Amino acid sequence: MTAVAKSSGCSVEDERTRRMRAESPWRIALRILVRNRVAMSGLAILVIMSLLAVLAPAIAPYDPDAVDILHQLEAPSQAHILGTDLYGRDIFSRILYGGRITLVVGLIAVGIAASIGIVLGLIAGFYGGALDSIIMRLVDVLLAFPRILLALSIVGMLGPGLLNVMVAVGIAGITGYARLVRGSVLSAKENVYVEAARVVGCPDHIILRRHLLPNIIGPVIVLATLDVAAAILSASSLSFLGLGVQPPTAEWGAMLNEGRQYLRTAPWITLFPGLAIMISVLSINMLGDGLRDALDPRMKI
Amino acid sequence: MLRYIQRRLLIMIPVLWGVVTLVFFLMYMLPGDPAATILAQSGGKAEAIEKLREQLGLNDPLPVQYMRFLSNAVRGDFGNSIFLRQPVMQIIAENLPATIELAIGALVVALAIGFSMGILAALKCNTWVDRLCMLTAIAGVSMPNFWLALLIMYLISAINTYYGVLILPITGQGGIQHLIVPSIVLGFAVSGSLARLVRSSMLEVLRQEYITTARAKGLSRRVVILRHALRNALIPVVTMLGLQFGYLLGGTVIIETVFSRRGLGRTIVDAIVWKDLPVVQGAVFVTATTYMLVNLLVDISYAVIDPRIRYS
Repeated sequence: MTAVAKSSGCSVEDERTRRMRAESPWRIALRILVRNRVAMSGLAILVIMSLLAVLAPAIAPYDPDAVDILHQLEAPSQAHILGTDLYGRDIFSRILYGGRITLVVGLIAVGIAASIGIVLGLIAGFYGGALDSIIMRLVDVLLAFPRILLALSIVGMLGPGLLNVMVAVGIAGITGYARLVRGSVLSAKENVYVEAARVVGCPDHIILRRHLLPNIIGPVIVLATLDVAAAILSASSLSFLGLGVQPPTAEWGAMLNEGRQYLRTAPWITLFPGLAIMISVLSINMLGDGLRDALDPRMKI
Repeated sequence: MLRYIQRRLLIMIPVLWGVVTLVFFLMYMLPGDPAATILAQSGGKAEAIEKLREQLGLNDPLPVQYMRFLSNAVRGDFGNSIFLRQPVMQIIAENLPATIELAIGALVVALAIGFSMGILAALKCNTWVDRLCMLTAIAGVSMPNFWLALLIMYLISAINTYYGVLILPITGQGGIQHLIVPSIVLGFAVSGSLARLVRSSMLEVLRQEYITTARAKGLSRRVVILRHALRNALIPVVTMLGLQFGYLLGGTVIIETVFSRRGLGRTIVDAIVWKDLPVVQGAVFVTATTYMLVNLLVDISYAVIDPRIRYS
């Protein structure tokens, strides 16, 4: 009898810990996300696009920069499935290689924005006082600029080029993270676990990194995901204006810019790179929406 | 209310100071010598460049240059354009109206499409209508606006070639006709995010008990939706509108360039390409100020939409 009670008690305990582990917020979120068909299609498209970009050297039928004047401005055909541009370069190959640049630019720009923004937000929210005021006034100043205008001004200062575009789009994106993280820290730092950590003598940087950050990271992940889409759009806009990635590098925005003059005679030069931008941005948005629904349905981003 | 507006305007002053400072330092760090750029066409000799540097005050220490810039900026003077040889403020005054026109046109388009799609989707929640609206919305958000611009230009010119009619003018300045296509292109992306927000906000409100009450007391569906539901659903939407206006203002940079329209956005792009510093500084400053004023208007409009909000 006692043995039964003991074992059943034990199994109840096991059951509870197992359920607790199974029901961890991340796991619940993951389950909701996996069930979200739209988000999963977004993820699938994104994986395919990334694979195409990574495997570009193996898949691309032509060298993306190989000039072939004999076949300039050719309409899509069997030899060139998406046609050729002014210099006879194969558009399909250029789109494959362009994906490497566009997707990486999006990721790195968001990496810059998120890492700076999160640190600023953590410091401002955690320490408060004068530090908070200074950081948030700086953020206010950056917020006074429409984002693309800020990126444009920074690129104007740094000069065109791949690296500068990433930096410009990244800096222009800092404010979103700083504000979001600061707001979350302000409410999260009132929790008992923060006090407990303080009592046992945890240094501030550990409290910030180990205790606060994991608790507020959910909305940040959602913002960052959706932000990759926005960053890709900003970066390709800059390239489209001729201030971003410079020719002859294959980049989708720059390709659109090159095709502009031939819109009437060779619309495929502009059609397909634009479609590539839209599909990748769309897939990231679909995934980001799903993440938001899974992590926090009430969030308004 | 008046006091709130006063206070907000006062808060704007340090932010504007920050904006001016940022604009100054961004341009100060710009590589290249403005004096050399100005004289480049006339084959600038070293002596002439040095003389011009002295005239422009570029040889002064940084704090002196900064203070001079600041005191001129306060008086609305950003100097003369390097290439157009006109006062920057005059160039801005000539170009700003066209940009405001475009931004407002785009806002009208965004509101019209966004609200109709959002309300429709909320009322037909979980039907194919809802799904179609939301698909259009997310596609609108994901579409690069310069690409949409080129597609529509191609379409209109193709119709023109085949049928010999130009349904709408695409490029350049002119009456309201010239405004239609650029406004649609610029407004479409915003209409997408607006539709999504209107939908979720409406759905939340439609679940409230006062909606059931209103219906139960015999009010028509139309009145309930427009007067009871929509007005309450507006608040989160208006909050976003300020941010979206910033997007529209920034978007004019691209749209004006694609459609060869005159405007502040295009002025900025051209000035950046030509390294015409004073114009970039002035135009960026004016755009930022406009954006801040719009956000203030948005905040004030909360009180009109929701009388529960009181500013003290």
